[in-house]
Amino acid sequence: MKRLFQKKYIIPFVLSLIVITTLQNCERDDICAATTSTTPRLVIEFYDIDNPESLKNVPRLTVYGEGQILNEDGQIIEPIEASDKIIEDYVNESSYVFNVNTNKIGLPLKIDDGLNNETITTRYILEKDTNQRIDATGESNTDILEITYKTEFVYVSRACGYKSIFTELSVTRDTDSEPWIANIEIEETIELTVENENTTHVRIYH
Amino acid sequence: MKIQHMFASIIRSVIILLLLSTIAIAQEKKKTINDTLIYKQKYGLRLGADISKLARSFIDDNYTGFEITGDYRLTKRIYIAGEIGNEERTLENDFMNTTTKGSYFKGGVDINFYKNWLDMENMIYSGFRIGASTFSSTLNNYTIYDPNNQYWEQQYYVEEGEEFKSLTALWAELQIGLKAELFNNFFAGVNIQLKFLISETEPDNYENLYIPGYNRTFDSSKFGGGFGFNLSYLVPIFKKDKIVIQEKEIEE
Repeated sequence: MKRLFQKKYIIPFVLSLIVITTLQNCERDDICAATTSTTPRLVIEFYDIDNPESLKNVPRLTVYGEGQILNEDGQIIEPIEASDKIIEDYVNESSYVFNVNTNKIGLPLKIDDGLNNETITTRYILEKDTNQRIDATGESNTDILEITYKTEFVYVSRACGYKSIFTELSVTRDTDSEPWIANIEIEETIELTVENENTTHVRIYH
Repeated sequence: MKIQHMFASIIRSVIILLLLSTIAIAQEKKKTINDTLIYKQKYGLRLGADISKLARSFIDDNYTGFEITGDYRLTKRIYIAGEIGNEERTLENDFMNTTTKGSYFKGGVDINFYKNWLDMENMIYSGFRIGASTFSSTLNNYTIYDPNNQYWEQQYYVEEGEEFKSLTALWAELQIGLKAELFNNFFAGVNIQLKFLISETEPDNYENLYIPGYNRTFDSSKFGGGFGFNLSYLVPIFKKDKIVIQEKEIEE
């Protein structure tokens, strides 16, 4: 009885030591919450050219990245409803911007365009009146947006790591004989930086 | 959870010991006289090492570290105590892989709450520490988190590391633990640590995910935790008398 600690207590000591060490190895994985503001999309709203303060739906709009819609042989084709590279609806992630009337879209931007330049370019095709092409009742009108910017990596959190924001934004429309986009404006308040999706970045007038 | 069981069994055994001692007094009524007993108590420097950190260095590929502990007995109940250590820890998840390495020092006091029997020198103690760490943190690689990266089918991966040097942190720490003499002058001890981060240097465009001595940080609070398992050896420097007045019963 001289000692408080006898041999029988040494074994639980060592055992608990081993248990604790193993528990430490599998720390609870922190999950990056969906509500966290991470890499933003470019948010575009469509306004009426005749009434610049009011939103105006683009009739039967389809939006996809240039060179993203390919057939089985890898050739560029025009999209059909089943094409999987139509962008997602801004609000409803399970529907796509294919042949819909909408006034707001969110475009995922490339973080790397493979060209190793400081300025990165992402190009999107915006097709108006898609139904006329599908029904073969007329012609749709496609305009191409060229978006250029620089990336900047910003720390978010332990769980999410880093996000990219986009600076020195510039958005232009390719010259076109029959454009439906009349004017493009970058919102002054964002100071050419796409930082989050809380605000609209670009206004397109049509 | 195992550690709780361990504490429970230790505390239980302590209680049983105390009970036994009261039973011994509660005997037939007899005449009592005071008896003065003098025990020699050893005072000195107790030096040891944290075995759990050593063991983990062998088991865990992402960890190497050691800690040297020491305490010096000032009075019957108060000890000056401190730890010094060095750690290297790699943390990885889906998006980041980082390595933190550095040294730390903790200093403070331990107060023994355990009333020892006879000449024993075991401790059930509560301790307070101030801890300081200097370290560096290397971001080995990371992936840009982009919920829409499916569209362009690219996961942007940054491989070149970035090192954040001369980082520091300061924290306060509460310890609860026990130390028991296994055999002559040789002690084993366990403790749990609750830490509160007072200040840290935040690296630019990054944060301290791990601080040597403090362990991992949490996004939502400044509290952290830890534990220790020490083996130590007491270098006796001098002895003091412990005077115990016992009531002794003798038959009339």
